[in-house]
Amino acid sequence: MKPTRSRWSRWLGRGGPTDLPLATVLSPAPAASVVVPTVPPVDSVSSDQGISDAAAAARAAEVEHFRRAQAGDFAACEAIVQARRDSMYRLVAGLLENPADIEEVVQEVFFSVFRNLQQFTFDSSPRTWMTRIAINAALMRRRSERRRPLLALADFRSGGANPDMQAMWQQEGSARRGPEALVLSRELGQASQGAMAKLPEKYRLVLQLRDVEELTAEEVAQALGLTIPTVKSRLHRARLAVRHALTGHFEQRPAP
Amino acid sequence: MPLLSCQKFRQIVADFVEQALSPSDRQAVIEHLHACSLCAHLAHTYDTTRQLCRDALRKACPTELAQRLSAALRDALK
Repeated sequence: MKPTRSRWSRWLGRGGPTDLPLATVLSPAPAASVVVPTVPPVDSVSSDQGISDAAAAARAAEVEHFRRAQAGDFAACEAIVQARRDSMYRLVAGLLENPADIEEVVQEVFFSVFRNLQQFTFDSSPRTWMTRIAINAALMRRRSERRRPLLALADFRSGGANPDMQAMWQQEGSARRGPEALVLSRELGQASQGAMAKLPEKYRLVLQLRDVEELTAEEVAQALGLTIPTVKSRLHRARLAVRHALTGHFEQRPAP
Repeated sequence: MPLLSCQKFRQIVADFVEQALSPSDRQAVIEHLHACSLCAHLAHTYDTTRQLCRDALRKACPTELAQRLSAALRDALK
């Protein structure tokens, strides 16, 4: 069956991003200066897999660092900063525009974390707790600030992340066109960024937490106060929306 | 092993690219993708889109900010 543009369009029209509702943005942060949230338990419909071994190891290290930090180990505090500063920066930078605000809020996040270390009871993962703190802090700071439209462009690696897909393309050689055959150009990078920037924030934030920060679906649900099915639904819609925006950039592969 | 329909694949494409399927389901998907170029294209572009999003949003904390952050915390915590 040869995929055609019209067939793709029909599929996308039925279940794809054209049905993406005009979303409301995240619920505003509470007016009170509550920076440290309690993380509500989530009714686990299904625990989420799909995190890398490296991410799993990082999680274990974080827990250990938090335990040591609670015991007053300064080196553990530094380790927490070093391990999570990129993530906290990305999260805050995705919600705020002004660089000075971003810097101040990132600092506030870590100060809040260390001020309230003893309140953390490991009911959630440390990164979930920190994510909630960062989102609350950024949303309180943002107020009237407009959401940042675009992030700086990064260089793109070619191909997808799923090894099954990579193996499939490699095995089939020239009969099927692999990730390297896709037009992964700067233009594509800009297009994907533009598509993500157009996502309603509640979709973009789920995509960022799940795909970039490698939180599990359960952790994302905890951090954002959503159910796991809602997280998965928003994530799927976000990916489909970006993919739909990139449809014209993907080469049509030939029929086998 | 029952054949996987295209409709069913569309429902589980996310779990497939996230490697969250059971081994038997994963194998069924792979067999389906070898037989259906439409779904293979969906899987491929969905997976690639996921990677593009990841790369586009992955951004390190600026060095200067990281240094100021460490210094500020050092002062505050010591």
